[in-house]
Amino acid sequence: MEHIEPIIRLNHLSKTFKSKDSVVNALDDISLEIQKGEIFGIIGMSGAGKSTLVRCINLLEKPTAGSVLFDGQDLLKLNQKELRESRQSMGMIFQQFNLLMQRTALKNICFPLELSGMPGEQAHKRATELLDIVGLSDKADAYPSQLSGGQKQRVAIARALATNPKVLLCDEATSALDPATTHSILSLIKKLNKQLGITIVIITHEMSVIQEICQRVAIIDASRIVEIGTVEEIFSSPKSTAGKKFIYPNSSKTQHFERNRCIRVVFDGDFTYEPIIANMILDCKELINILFADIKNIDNKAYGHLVLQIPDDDIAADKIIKYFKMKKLSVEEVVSGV
Amino acid sequence: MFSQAVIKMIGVGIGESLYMTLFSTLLAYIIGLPMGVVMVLTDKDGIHPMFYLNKTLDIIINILRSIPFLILMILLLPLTRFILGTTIGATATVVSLVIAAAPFIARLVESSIKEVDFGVIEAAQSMGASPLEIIRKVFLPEAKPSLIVGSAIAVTTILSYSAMAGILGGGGLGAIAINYGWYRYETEIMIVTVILLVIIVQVFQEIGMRLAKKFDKRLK
Repeated sequence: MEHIEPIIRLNHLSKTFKSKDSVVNALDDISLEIQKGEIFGIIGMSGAGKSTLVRCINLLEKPTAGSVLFDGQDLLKLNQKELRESRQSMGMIFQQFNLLMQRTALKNICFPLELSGMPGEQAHKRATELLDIVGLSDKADAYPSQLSGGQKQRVAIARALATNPKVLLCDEATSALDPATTHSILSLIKKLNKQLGITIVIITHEMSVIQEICQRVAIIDASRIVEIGTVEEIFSSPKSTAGKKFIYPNSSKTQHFERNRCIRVVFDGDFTYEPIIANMILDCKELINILFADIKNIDNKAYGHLVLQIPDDDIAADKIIKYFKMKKLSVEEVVSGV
Repeated sequence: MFSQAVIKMIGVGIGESLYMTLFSTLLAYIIGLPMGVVMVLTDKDGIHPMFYLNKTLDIIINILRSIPFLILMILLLPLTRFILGTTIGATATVVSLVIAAAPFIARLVESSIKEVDFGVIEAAQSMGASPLEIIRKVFLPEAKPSLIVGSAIAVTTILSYSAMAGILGGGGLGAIAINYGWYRYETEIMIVTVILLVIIVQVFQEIGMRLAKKFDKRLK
């Protein structure tokens, strides 16, 4: 894979925004290569520069320094007309869908075809095919205001694919959607990647999106790429601080119990197979510290007791105690220092 | 209540008022619409920023809009005479109406187009649309409902300007109101012309709003 010429190559890209009294470095010496046919993720917190980065790929933002090579072509050396032509080989979808509100779904898909000079009838036919690909054949004559968020993004995807682009740029494409819809849009993108071999670049702030569909990922933090690698590599051993923050988002919330509130939970044989402590943590979203455990397996049933240190906060402590009581375990508060 | 002659005169007045208003609106749009589009296009955040052109147009529009219509009409008398050879009558009024209304229309068009979501423009750019294609296929169609509402405002404003022109020998209902109601103390005729003007304004406004609603696909 390393020997194939990358479809997108960014060389030492920088972008500075200057206003009257401030200079903002949105991108600082970014270099990366995206291979043909891969699904490449770029993740970063808001303000990290990821939206500017994706806009530099199709020159919606003009980088201040560096070069952008698309399919071997230096985009910064093209004139306006050549750039517009090469943009037709790069589809883009957005967080807010950005459909033309006064056109039907079908006519929205016809839009890039009109720009490419395709005759009306042919464009109409192609748009109908695309609607079918994204599963919205019945919505051809619907206006965007009549569609749900997920449907709008499907139309936007069909529109972005109309001119058979080599690359699909997705700028926070699922950030305005609920989890179920996000999943269906990501599956669609994955399917298109497989069927059409189109290269996908995904910008997101959600690790779950990267995890679900990306093969490689770059982490951008404070205008720089701090880490780049396969999703497996990054997930198993994030090296940068920003990377760790994405993989272990709650680790900064490590608790220290000041007071020493403890409870004893007694098992009398009912909970051999239920991971009761883990369930409590997941359901209550509260942390505990196991101070002492003595559980015996007798005839495949658990007998024994646990001593848990619980949060100082009374509401949290109460929640935990009530949870165990609800599970019909006997709970008693004990003096610490077992 | 009124003699045949008066009724006929009022009929002609209505015709002249409509002629002045609609003809001026048409001509003013021919000038004002491109001006408004250019203002948006060349704005510093627009898709083709051109600072000096934008600033120059901006100043011209502001100057023309700050001169009261009656004064502008007087200032334009030489121009009107140069173009038409006369300064009285309905057609003569059209000249100053167009010059007064065009910058007003430019502002209406500018604000309508600026309502178009920037994301949509960016999407069009990402698909390789040229500035001209963005004007034709994004700006104007997407702003259509707002442009129609704007045109209703323009028509009614121009109608009231045209009535004002009656003082300086323009034709139409305004001239009748001034000549009969003011100079001859025939208050009834003035009231009738005012009522007619009110009705015409209502009709134009209503048509505009209905058309805008009909064309706006965001509402359904």
